[in-house]
Amino acid sequence: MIQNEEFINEFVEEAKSHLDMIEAGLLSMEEGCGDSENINTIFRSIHSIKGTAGFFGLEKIVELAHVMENLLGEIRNQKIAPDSVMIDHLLRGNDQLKTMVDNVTDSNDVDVTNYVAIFTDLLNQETAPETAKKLILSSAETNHKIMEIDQHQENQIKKARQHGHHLYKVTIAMNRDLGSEISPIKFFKKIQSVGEIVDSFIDISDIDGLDSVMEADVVFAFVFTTVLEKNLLPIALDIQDESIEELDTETDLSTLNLSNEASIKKAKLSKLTENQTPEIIFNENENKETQSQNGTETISVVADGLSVVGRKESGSTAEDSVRVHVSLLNDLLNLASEMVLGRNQLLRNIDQHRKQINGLDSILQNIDRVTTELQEKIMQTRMQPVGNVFNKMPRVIRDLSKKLGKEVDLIIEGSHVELDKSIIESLSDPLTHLIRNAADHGLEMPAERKKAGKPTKGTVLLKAYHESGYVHIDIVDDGAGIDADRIRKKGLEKGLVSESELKHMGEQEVLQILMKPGFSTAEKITDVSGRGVGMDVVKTNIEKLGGTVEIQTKLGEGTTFRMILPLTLAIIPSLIVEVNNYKFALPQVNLQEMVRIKAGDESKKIELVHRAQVLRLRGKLLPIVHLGEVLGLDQRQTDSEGTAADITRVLVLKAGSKRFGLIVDRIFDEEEILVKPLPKYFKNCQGYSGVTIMGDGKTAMILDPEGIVTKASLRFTEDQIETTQLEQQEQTEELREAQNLLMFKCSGEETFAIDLSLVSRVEEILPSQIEIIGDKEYIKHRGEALRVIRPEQYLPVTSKQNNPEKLYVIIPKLVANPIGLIIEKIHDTMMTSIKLNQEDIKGKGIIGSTILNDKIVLLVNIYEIFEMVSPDEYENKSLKNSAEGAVILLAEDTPFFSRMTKNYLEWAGYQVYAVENGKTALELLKEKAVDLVLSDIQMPVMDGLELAREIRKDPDLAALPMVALTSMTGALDRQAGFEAGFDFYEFKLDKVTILETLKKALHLRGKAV
Amino acid sequence: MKNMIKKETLTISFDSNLTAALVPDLTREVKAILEMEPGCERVVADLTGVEYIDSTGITLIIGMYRSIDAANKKFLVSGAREEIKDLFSIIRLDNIFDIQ
Repeated sequence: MIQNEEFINEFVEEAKSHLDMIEAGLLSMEEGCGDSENINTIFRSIHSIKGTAGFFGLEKIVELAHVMENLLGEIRNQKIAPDSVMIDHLLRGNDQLKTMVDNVTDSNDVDVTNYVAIFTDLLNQETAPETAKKLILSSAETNHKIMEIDQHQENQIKKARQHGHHLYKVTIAMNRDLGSEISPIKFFKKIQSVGEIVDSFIDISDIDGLDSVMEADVVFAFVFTTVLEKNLLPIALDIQDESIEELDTETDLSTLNLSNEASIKKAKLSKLTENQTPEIIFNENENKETQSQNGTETISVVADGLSVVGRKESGSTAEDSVRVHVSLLNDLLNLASEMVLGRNQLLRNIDQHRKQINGLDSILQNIDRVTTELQEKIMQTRMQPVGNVFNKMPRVIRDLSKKLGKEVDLIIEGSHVELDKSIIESLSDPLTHLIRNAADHGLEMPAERKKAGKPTKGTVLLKAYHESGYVHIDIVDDGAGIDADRIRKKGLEKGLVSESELKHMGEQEVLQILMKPGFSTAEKITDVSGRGVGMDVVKTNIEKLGGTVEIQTKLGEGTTFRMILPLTLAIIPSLIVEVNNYKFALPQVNLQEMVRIKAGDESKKIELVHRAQVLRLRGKLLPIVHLGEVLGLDQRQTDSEGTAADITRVLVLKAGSKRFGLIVDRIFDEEEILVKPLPKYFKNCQGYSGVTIMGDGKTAMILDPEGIVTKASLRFTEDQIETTQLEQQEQTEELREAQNLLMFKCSGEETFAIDLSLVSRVEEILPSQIEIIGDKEYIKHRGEALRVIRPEQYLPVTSKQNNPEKLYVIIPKLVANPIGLIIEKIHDTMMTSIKLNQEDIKGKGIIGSTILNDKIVLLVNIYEIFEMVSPDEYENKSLKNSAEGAVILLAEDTPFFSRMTKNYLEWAGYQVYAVENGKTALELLKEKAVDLVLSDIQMPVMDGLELAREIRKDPDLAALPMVALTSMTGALDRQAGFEAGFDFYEFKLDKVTILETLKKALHLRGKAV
Repeated sequence: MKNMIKKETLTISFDSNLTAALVPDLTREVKAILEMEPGCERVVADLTGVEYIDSTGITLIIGMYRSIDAANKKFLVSGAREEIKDLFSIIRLDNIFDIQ
């Protein structure tokens, strides 16, 4: 037996994947897939498992696989028709094999007799009665039996041939060949595991009676088929070469007469026993010593040989991948994390010397970049598709629906979404529980559903997707929904919540009672779910991973359980804050906004409500928490009047669906930190979710916003908790509409702004570098002459002669013949949402004005400026008013681009309806006829891809030409766009090309509405 | 080993393994027992206490069969554990004498 661990592990991996394939195949067979390819695949897999298991001496696995293979063989030959009961048994047998493969070393201790019996029964019931067993003739004289090969055996041999098996005849004398060293039991099991015995014969004639026991021998001869090759067989069986004879196909099997051979051997035997040559006794140990080198080579050859044959049969394709042990990946990840910390420390320490030492800056930048990439890539190695855990669910649903008598349809979406390996592993149990819950409690019985007018088949949707840096896994059922009142009652009954607490609870909080330990609304405790230990374990498990569970429900319509999980556990971006001279790390994902309180700003201010400080943010009230207080740190005197005035910055945190403001003493930088778990003795500290080492080498506790909420006993009323989707979306909308603006000044007083996505770079130059040719100005840029202009000369703004020492040139992006803009001062870059005021201040070259930082800022329209500067190049008169009055629906959420695009579309003669997102676009399409849809991709509420899909789905709208207008320029983005239904995909800023494309698009699909 | 006779059935119960080291002595004992009870019609080899059997053990069992059969008595094996039964059946001993 080969105990080489490496090979065993490989076997386990392969076997597991085979077993998964078998399960999938059996399930689809049950669904009615009578595809021969399917049953062949199943058969090949089980056969492969049996073969390789046998090689490793995994007898019980072989035994079970063997009977299953037989049954599957009959099914494959269409001698037996598989029914649900049979498939059930096969699935269970497969499960047992899985268990045994998982504990490979103990697998031989498992008792598989029950399974074997079941399958044998199934086989016997169904197969046609076997043709008559072998004829046994025995001679009265010598007790020799003369065997005949019957039809069945002939078929056996033929089948074996088809598989490329070999046929051998092996003759052994037990005492001589096995002796007391080799257990006959093991020996024969080994034979059965590497092949099938077609026929056999035992010759006991040498033993006359008790007297001859010590000298005589028993000869046993058998014919068998196996995958093993002639040179490997003796090694596998531990017998001598000479004992084995290969039979070739041409041999007429009916004439094979084992008894004759046996007697010949007997003659030889007597001679040998006289001599008693030691070499004849084949000793295991001896083999190992003298042939150790050969042995290992042969072993590997054998392994290869076996696996090659195996692979040929299963036809699996080679993949460009490498098997790596998980512990190695973990080590790599640890090292990468240490590297990140080291880099942080290095950067912090050397920062002041950056400029002083020559070349240091770029070296540090390089190290920084490489470290980040290294860490990201290594984390990626641990990423596995969530489908790994999703694919266990069909089986769960199948078994459950049978048990409960409900029809359940399981739809899985997003199996490709990836999560860190450790998260995936911990997901299995909670997910199973939630799925079972959905089927058990969520969905009603078919009769009830019918009464309610629903289809009798219930649907459970299991969906994974990315959102705002987290992975969401939704389990949605279209069942009866959760009755919040029932939960309130049960919660009170079980003493999990008090009357007074209930009064203050919003619906989300009530639903969360469902997940408290000891809760269970199941009327009967089925063994499926409802033991009162399930949901709370789900919640704790998910929270341990750094995630949350949300529940949404509608009575009569269904329920959604949503698990929100972080992408990875190890390294997270965080904000370092300080309170009472202690530094803490605040995970970035919980930080929604940083609000600066300024006197006079009504949209953000601190107020007092019942003597508690609250933040009024854009009309909503958020409770305020002083971090130092909540954590119980030594406090200076805080007197509510005084501090309200002192507070200048509030961190708006989001924990689950709750928002609140956090006050700290100081705010530092962002840092990527390595999350280390809380030591045991911190278990009861609610405010912390971990600990880390910062760049300066000191430790910092990682704050847990959820825990802070609890500690501060914050109560959230219905108003404050965002229970409605719309509210949540509004917030994200606010953030999404934000643009990245560069604010600058030219020679005059006015402040301008340009969208950074239009800017390629900003160069610093000396006025002397500007060369004048004719009436145009140029500078040398990257070896070529770049035309430059002063915007104030083309805009209705003031212009002065300042003679500054240096100037800046804004070099635009994505423009065919760029012209640089000369500016004098760069103010700031800001990420902000703009309320464009388009009416008051207008003019060619300016899109509109807005107020930023208390100043009026003019938004520059680069296109129009260019047109003014060089009408020949930029204005394409042929395009003007050439659109024949076609109607375009423009969906674009950024006011800046919306305005710009609408401008030149109208200039080109189109009629434009501008909307802000996909949803409003669809609404408009219902009411008005358009000829073309021009849409951005990134939009709130409904994005461009979704819009495209919806339009293509709608028969009235499907023929509309659709052009995507976006700043996302990657190949994948393009492909996504085309897949969603766009006809063309263009960049936002290339006006000429866009207009050309529009013309093409309109002609392409005709003006259909 | 023990032996017991009941209604012309001699039951010989083995309580050790049937291995090369022990078989010589076992053979002698069995012979002695058989000689002591010439009148029995059947001999049952009870292998309940046998955990392991090697090739000499097999030879012993076959030897018993041959001797008993030559004396025109019936020989059968009983109480063998699953593995040993399987073994006997693979090597077709079950075609020669009964194995219960």
